[in-house]
Amino acid sequence: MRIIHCADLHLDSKMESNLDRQMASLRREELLDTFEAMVRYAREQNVRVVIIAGDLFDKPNIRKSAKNRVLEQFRDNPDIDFCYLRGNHDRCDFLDEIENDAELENVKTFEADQWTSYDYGEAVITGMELVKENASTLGMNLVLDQNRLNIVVLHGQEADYQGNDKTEVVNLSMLRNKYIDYLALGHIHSFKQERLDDRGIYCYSGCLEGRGFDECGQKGFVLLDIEEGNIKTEFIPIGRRCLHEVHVEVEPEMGMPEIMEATQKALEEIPSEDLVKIILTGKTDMQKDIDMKRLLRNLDREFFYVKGYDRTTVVVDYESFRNDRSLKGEFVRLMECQEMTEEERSAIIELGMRAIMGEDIEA
Amino acid sequence: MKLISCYVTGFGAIKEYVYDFSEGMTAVCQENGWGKTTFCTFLKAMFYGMDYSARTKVLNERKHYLPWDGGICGGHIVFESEGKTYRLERTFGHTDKEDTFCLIDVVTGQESRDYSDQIGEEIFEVDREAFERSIFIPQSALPTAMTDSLNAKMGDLAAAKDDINNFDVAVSRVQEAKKSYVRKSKVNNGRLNVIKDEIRSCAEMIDKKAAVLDGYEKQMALLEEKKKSLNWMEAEKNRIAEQIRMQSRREQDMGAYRKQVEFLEKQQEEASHLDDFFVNGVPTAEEQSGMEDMERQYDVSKRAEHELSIKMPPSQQVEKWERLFSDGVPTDDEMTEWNEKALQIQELQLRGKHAKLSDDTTKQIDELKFFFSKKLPTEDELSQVEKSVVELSKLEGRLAELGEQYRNLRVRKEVAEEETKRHHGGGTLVLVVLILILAFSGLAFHFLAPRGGWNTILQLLCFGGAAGVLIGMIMHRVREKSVQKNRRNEILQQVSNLEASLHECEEERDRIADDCGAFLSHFLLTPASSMQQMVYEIRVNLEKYRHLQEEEEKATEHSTEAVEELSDIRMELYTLLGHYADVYGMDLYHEGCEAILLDHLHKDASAYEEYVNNRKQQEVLQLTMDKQKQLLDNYLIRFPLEESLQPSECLKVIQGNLKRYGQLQEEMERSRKEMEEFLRNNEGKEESVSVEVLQEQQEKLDEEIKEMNQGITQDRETLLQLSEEMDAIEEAENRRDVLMEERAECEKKVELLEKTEEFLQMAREQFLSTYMKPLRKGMDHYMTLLDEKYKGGADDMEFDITMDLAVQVRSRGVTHSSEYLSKGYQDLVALCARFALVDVLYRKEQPMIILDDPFTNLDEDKIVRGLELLKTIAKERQIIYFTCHDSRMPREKKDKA
Repeated sequence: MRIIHCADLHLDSKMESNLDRQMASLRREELLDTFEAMVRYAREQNVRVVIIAGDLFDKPNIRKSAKNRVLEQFRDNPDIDFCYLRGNHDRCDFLDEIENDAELENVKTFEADQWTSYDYGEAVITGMELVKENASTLGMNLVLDQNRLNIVVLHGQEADYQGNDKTEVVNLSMLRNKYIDYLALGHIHSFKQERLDDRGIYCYSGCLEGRGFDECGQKGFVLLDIEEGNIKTEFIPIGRRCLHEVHVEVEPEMGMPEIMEATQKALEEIPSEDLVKIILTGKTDMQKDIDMKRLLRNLDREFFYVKGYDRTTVVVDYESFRNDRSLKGEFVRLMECQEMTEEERSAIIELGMRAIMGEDIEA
Repeated sequence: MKLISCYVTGFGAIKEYVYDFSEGMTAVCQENGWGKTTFCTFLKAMFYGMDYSARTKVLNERKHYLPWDGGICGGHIVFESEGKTYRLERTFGHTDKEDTFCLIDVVTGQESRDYSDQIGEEIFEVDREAFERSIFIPQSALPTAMTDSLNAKMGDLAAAKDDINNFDVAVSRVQEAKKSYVRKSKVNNGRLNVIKDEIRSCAEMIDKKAAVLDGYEKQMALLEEKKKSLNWMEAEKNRIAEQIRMQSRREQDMGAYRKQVEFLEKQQEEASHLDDFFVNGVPTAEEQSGMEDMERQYDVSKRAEHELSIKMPPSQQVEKWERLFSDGVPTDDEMTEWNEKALQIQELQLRGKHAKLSDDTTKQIDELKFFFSKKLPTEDELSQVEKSVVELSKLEGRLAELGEQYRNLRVRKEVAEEETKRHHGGGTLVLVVLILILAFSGLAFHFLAPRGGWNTILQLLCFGGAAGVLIGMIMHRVREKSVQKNRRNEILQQVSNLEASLHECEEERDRIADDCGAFLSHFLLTPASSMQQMVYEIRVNLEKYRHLQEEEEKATEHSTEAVEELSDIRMELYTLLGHYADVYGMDLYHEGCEAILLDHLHKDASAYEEYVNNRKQQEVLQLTMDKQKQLLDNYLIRFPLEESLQPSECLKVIQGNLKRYGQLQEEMERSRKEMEEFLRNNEGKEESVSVEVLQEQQEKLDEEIKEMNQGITQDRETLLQLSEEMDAIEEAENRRDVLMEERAECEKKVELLEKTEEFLQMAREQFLSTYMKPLRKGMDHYMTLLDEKYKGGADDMEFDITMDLAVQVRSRGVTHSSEYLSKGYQDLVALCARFALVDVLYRKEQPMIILDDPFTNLDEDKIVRGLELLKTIAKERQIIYFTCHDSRMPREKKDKA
C-alpha cells in the first residue's frame, strides 16, 4: 500500500511579500497547480491514502474557485482517501463543506476532542487536531495496537517538553513508546525526518511550494511504501519553483565586472524559473562602489524573481593612513583606536570618507 | 636628517652628477633649465621610490625620468640620521619589480637593516606626497604662498585647510543624511519617522487582532451552536415526518379495515341472493358448459336453416324450371357439344365478314375509278409525258441562261457608247485651249514685240506649236473613231446571235408545254407548282388503283365457300335446341341467338340443381333443431329466469352467477382472515397523535429552521467580514515585520551617521590640537629670528597663522592681514610660515628644504637679509638653495666663486 504524507500547502496564500501583484497572483495559482500535480502523482502511483497534516489553506477567507479546485480533486479521485487534519491556519469553513457533501466519502477528517482512527488493513491512520485544550494531554489517551502498523497525524511545532504556550506544540516525549511507526507532522515548512523512538520515526514533509526566502530549497511530499509491515519513505520533490538564497563572497580587489561574474557563476546551476535572493558578503575596497541595482538589472530576465542585498564591509588599509598628515588621516587613525567591531568601524570610516569626498552617503 | 652627498648615475637629463652637500645651507648657482625639479624628484625617489600607489601617475613619472640613452636610472645618497651615516642606493626599472634598494652603513660598510625600502616614511613619518610638497619651495611660492592654487602643492597642512573645509561640509552632509531619517516634518518627514508612523498604524491595527480573533471565535462558536441547533431541528423534523408517515399509514390501515367490513357485508348479501338463484341445485361446470355448447349448436342450425329458406326461389321460377327440364336436366357433355357448335357458327359468320372488302378500300377504289374515268393512261403514254416534262424543265433553264447573257451584252454595249461620248469631252477641250494660247502667243509676238532676233523665233515656235498640236489632235481622233466602230459592230453581232437562240428556245418550250397540258387536262389534279409534280401524282394514283383492283378480285372468290358450311351447322343445332327455344320464346332461325339460349340454359340448369339440394338440407336441419330445443328448455326451467330472455342470455346469466358465486365464497373467506389478522395486530394499541397535529408541529419546526438558516447566513457574513479583517491584520503584521526590519536598518544607519559625525568632529578637534599649536609656536620662533635680522620692522606687531596658513598681524589690538605689511616683509613672513609648517609636519627627522630662487622679487638689501635669515635657520636644518644669479648667492659663496 502506498500513502502520501503532505502538509502546509497554504493554498490561496496571497504570496505578496516579495512579489508584485501579477507575479503573486501567478504563484497563488501555482500553489493549486502543485496540489493537483501531487494528486495526479498519487493516482498514477496507485496511492491509497493522501494524508494532509494541516494547513491545507492559509487563512479564513478562501476564494470559492480555490475551494472548488480542491473539492474537484477530492471528487474526481474516489479511489483515493484524503485524511485531512486541520492545522492552525485552517480557519475557513472548508470542513463544513466536506461534511455537508454526502458524495465526499473519501475525505476523512479528525476531531479535536478525541483520537480518530481509520483502518486501511495494512496500516491504521490515527490523528487528532491540536488545540489549547488537548495540547498538554496529547499522548495520554493515545492507545494503539502494538501488532498493527500505526501512522499518527498531528500538526504543530516539535518539542521535547511542554512550554508555557501550550498551543501548536507536539511534545514528542509524550508520544514515545506508544507503538507509533510513523508520526506524520505538519507545521514546519522544510522536510525533516528523525527517529522518534526505537520503533518509529517522525517526519515533517515540508510544504509543497516555497513561499518566501525563509522556505528555500526543494519542496514536496513524502511517499510511504508499506510492504509486509515495513514502511519505506521517500521524499518526492514536486514544487514548481524553488527559492534560493545565494551568498556571493566579494573581495576588495573585485570591481563590478568581477562581482557580476562571481554572481553569475554562483547562480549558473539555478533554473531560470526559480526565485533567487543574492547576498553579497565579504570585503570591498572603499574606492570601489557596488552597484546593486545594476547587478539585479543584469539578472532580472534570467530568473522568475531576483532580489539582492549588499552585506559587504569596506576594508580599511590603516597602514596607508599612518603617515597621512591630513584630516582624513587623523580621522582614520582616530577610528582605528576606537573599541568597536571591525564591521562598525569600517562602516563609519566609509561613511566619513564618503562625506569628506563629497560622495552620496546613501549610495 | 642631514644629506652629505649624492651621486646621480642617471635620472632624467642629469647624468653622472656628484654633489657634496654642505652642513647647514648649500647654495647652488645654476642657470635655468639645469634640472632643479629633476634633482628634487631624484631626492624624493631615493627616499620614497618611484611607485607609491595606483592613484599616482607612476608610469608616466617613470617614463619621464628614465634616462633617455637607456642607461641605468638611479644613484645613491649619503646621509646622516640619528647619528649614523648611511648610503642609500636605488636603481629604477620600467616597473617597481625591476627596482633595487640597498642601504649601507657607511661606517661598517655593511648593508643596514635599520630601514626598509619605505625608508622615507620611516625616517620622516610623512607620506610621499607630503614630503614632495613640503621640502620643495618653488620660485613663486613666497609671494603667493597663501593662495588656494598653491596650497595643494605646499603640503598636507595646506591641504588640511581643504580638509577642514571639507570636514565642515562632510559633517553637514552627515547631518543632512541623518536628518533624512529623523527629520520631523509634516511635508518631508524623515524616513525613520515615516516607518515608525507606519509601524504605529500597523500596530494599531494589530492591537485589534485579539479582539477580532476573539470575536471571530465567539462568532464561530455561535455559528457552531446554531448549526447544532439546526441539525437537531432537522433531525426533529425528520422524526416528525417519520411519525406522520407512520400515523398516516396506520390511519390508512384503519380505513381499509372499515371498508373491508362493509365490503364483506355486501358480499354476504350478494351470496344470499345467489343461494336463492341456485335453490334447485348448483349446476356443475361440465353441465353448464355442455348446455352452452348445445345452445351454440342450436343457434348455428337455426341460422343455417334461415339462410337456406332465404335462398329458396319463387314458385313461378320453380314451375318454369320444371317445364324446362321436364325431360331432365341436360348433361354436361350435351351442353359442351351444343356450345362447340354455336362457336363454329360464330367462326363461319366471322370468316364471311372478313372475306368482304373494307369500306375504306371500297371508297378508295371508287375515288380512283372517278379519277381515271376520262382517261386511263398506258405505261408508254405516262413515260412519254414524264420525259416531256423533264425536257421542259431543261428548256426553262436554258432560257434563263440566255436571258442573262443577253442582258450582259446590252450593258456592255451601253458602256461602250458612254466611253465614246466621254472621249469627246475634257481632253479635246484642253488641247483646243492650248492651241488657242499658242496661237495668241504667236500673234502677240507678231504684233506687240519688236521684230527680229529672239522674238521672231519665239513667234514661229508658237505658231508651229499650235499647228503641231492641232494636227496631232485630229490624227488621234480619226484613229480612235475607227477602233470604237469595230468594237461596237462586234457587240451588235453577238446581240443578234443571242436573240435568235432565245427565240428558238422559246418556241420549243411552248410546243412541249402545250403537249403536256393536253395530257394533264384529262385528270382532276391537285393544283401544284410544276407539271412534274402533277405527272408524279398521276403515276402514284395509277399504281394504287391497279393494286386495289387485284384485292377486290380475291375477296369475291372466298365468301362463296363459307356460306354453304354455315347453313349445315345451323340446321343441326337449331333442331336439338327447339324445346328449350320454345320455353324461352326464342326464334333461332331468324334471330340466330343460339349463344344466348345456351347461356340461359346453363344458368338455369345450375340453379335448378342447387334448389333441389337446398330443399333436402332444410328438412334435415329442422329435425335436429327440434331435439336441441327440448333439452335446453328442460335445463333452463331449473332457474328463476325472466321469460323474455333468450336461451343464450339465460345461459350467460347462469354462468355469471355461477362464477360470481364461487368468487364470493373465496373473497369472503380471504376478507375474514385479513380482518382477523388486523384485529390481532392492532389488539391493545393506544390511539396516538393525529397526523394533523403532527403536521402543525412540522410547520412550526420549518419556520424555526428557516429563521435559524437566516441567522446562520448572517453569522457567516459576519464571519466573512471578520475573516477579511483578520486578513487585513495579518497583512499589517507582515507589513510590520518588514517595517521593523527597515526600522532596524534605518536606526542602525542613523546610529552609524551619529557616530560618524561624532568621530569627524573629534578628528577635527584632534587635528587642530595636533597641528595648530606647534604651527603657531614655530611661527613665533621664526618671526623672532626674522626680527633679529630685520630690525626696523615693527616692534609692536604680533604675528599669528591661521588654519589656511594666512599670516595675520595684530598691531595695537587690531588684527590685519599680511597685506598690511610691506611687500618684502610679506615674503619673509611667508618664508617663516613655511618653515613653521615643515617643523610641524616633520616631527621625527627634519628634512632638507630645497628653495628655488625665492628672493627674485626682493631688493638687494632684503635679499641680504633673507639670506641671513636662511643662514640662521640653516643652523637648525639643512637648506639647499638654488639660484640662477650670482647676485642672489650668499656673500661667502659669492666670494668663493
